[in-house]
Amino acid sequence: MDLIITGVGGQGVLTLGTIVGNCFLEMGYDVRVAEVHGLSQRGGSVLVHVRAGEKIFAPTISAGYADLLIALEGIEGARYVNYLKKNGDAIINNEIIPPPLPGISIPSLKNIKDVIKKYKVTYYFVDASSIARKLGNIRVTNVVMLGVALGLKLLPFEREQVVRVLRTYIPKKYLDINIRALDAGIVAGRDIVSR
Amino acid sequence: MAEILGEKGIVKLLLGNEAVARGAIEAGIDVAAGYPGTPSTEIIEALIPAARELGFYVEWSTNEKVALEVALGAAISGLRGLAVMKHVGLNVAADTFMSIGYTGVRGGLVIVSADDPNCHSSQSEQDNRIYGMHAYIPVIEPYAPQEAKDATVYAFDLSEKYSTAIMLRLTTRISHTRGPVVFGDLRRRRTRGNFIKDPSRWVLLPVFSRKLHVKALERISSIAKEFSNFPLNKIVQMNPSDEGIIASGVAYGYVMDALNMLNLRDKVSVLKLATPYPIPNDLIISFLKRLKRVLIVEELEPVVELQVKDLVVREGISVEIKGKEYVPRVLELNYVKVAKAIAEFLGLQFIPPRVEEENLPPRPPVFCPGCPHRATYYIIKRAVASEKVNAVYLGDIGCYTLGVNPPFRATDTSYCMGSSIGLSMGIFRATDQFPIATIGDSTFFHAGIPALINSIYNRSGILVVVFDNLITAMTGFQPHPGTGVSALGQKARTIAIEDIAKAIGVNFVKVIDPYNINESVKIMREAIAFVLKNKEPAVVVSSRECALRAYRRILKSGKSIKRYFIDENVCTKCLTCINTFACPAIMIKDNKVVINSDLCIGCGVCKQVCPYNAIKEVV
Repeated sequence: MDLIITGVGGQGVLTLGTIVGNCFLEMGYDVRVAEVHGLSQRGGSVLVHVRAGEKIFAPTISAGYADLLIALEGIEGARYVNYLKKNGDAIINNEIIPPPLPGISIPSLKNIKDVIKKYKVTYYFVDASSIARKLGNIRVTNVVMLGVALGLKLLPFEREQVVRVLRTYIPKKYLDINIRALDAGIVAGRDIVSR
Repeated sequence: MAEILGEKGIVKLLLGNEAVARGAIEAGIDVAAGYPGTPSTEIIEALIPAARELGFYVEWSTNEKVALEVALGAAISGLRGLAVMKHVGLNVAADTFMSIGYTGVRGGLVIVSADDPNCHSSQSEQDNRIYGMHAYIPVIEPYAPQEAKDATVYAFDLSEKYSTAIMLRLTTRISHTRGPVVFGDLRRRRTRGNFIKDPSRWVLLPVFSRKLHVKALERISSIAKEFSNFPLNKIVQMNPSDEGIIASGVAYGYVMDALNMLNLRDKVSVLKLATPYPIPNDLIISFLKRLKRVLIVEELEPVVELQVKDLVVREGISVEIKGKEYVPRVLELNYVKVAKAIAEFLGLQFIPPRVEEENLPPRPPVFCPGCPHRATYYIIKRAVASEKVNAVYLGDIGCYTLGVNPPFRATDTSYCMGSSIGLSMGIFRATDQFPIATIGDSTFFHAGIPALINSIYNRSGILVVVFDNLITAMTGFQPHPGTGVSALGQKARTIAIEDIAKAIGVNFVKVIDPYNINESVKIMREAIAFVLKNKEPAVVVSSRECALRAYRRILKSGKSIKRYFIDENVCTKCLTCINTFACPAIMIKDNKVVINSDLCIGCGVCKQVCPYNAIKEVV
């Protein structure tokens, strides 16, 4: 499975990549998680490639070949939707973080949807940031999105398995809110399915 | 417990860099030194907690040359040393590196060069495998994290066996890719080294150098033989067709995926290479002799290709060698690019999916909310406007290079570490413009000091602004000589930048707090006036802790941060805040200028920027 995770530096894109990678590793797959470090993390566009399978050779996914896109932010989702293969799936957070450049026009959520619609992909827009804010910490948006992917059955993980991985990678202080974020995401994902 | 510690047989999802660190402790590393630089930084970072448990030594050195010399000192005393740097760091260490090619070592010395094809975080795509060739230092390049760990262990053993340094060449997609890594045994470290005096080996006087040059050549040809049996070099598949591929380093991964995509796995022969210099002559000859046409796939420069072509001519093998005719020489590869190259080489058609670029606003990296650098640029620009000087901004390497972007546009050059101060003196000699060198704290310690000394010695009218955020921020908060703590977390003597400037003899040295705008603009103006009047350097140290660190510290302490809002009854929508200060936390929403409380960290500088006092603290 080839998965692209994107968002804005500081949203927890790398953390999500590590969590997903470890879930695949637990299932006995070969895994690669290609990350972006350094300067580009400073509020920049962040793209993480996650590959899992019997045997993985290349570290990255080429545009047009990904099975699933998880976007923690709308503009970045639209920017990298071209990584998806035909009939791939996109889960996009209903959140626009405007690039802080003077004098640029910021696309609306509708503009973003129009871009995504041009592609032959199945897409789901979710209020992950709102859910995270309601839980009390915007920084768990990433795990809400992971929950949504589980709820939609677009990632092959059991809830318990993700919780085990969260226990390893999330500081104790934030574990509880992350588990609640995961559950809220799963519910949101299931809601979409039942609609 | 440190991420890289654990029993033999454990499997962990490690970054390539962490895998190298694990390899180093499996090889019984004694001394590791490096200077932070993307994509190399996590190697030393991963070693630090392991060093605390296992008792070996790790340091962040002031620059790569020093780091290499620290590791070399251990290696010529019979211990195992590791020097870690990014590709351009080796330019700084090149003087030492070239000499090591002559002297060799006694213990083990592995030099990690983390190259950056695609310039993800660098000024160039330089391919350091060429450095290996230049210095007669063998180069090993792994293709995946597991191999990066294995290669590190092999590199130390080979280094000792042949008394030579080994370059472990990584690239961003190795360093920053996670993959499963199976832990091996930890070898026991030696206790203390012992330097054995032998001027004919360690003193590069001409009389000795001439002989050592011959020895270096002999050494490299024995290693070329050894590499034919190197476990990471192998013919992975031999098929009956006449066509084959030699793939070096990360390119091997792309080649295998491309062959799978093209359904050519059982048609083309593949030689996987992990030693681009020297190439394993015997292994390559045996591969070439069974084929008529061979494509060399490697990222960036044709390092393997040129050596293979040379070998083919010398051995008189009748085989056609292709490479950079089909494989791009710029940017990093991927399996689509490689599939295209292979298809063209074989005269097949391969049409990748069409990829549209959407018209969306770019999102370049920006100064974080609360970043003191943003405030410092704001202060400089205000002072320059008030003093009406025609400023040229000589920038340097660090987060503050982002000063190139609007609204500041205050970085006119950026070459390499420390070059701002040197360049500013050239501008002073050559023009009537006003040279302002902007340099970060860690960069100042790294390569700024000799240039500042030059500005006094060769009296130069320059303004040097040190963007001091008390840490090496861009690479993720590594301490430096001004931080007051060592890599291992021990208290260290704090070296103050202003003290250095004063000791050198700079007559105008002032420290400002960039969060205090008016006072800072006043001092910056005085500095400009001083330089204009006296035609000698002035140094302003703009000192304030990196906002990300300050924010984390406040959160940890349980204190709450100050909150600000824009009073819409006062705001005139003049957009001074957005157009001259550009904090990401200030944005236009529903035709109002607002502060996004998810992003604001409460630095309060925007409050001083607003000409109408519309920005207020939440009470």
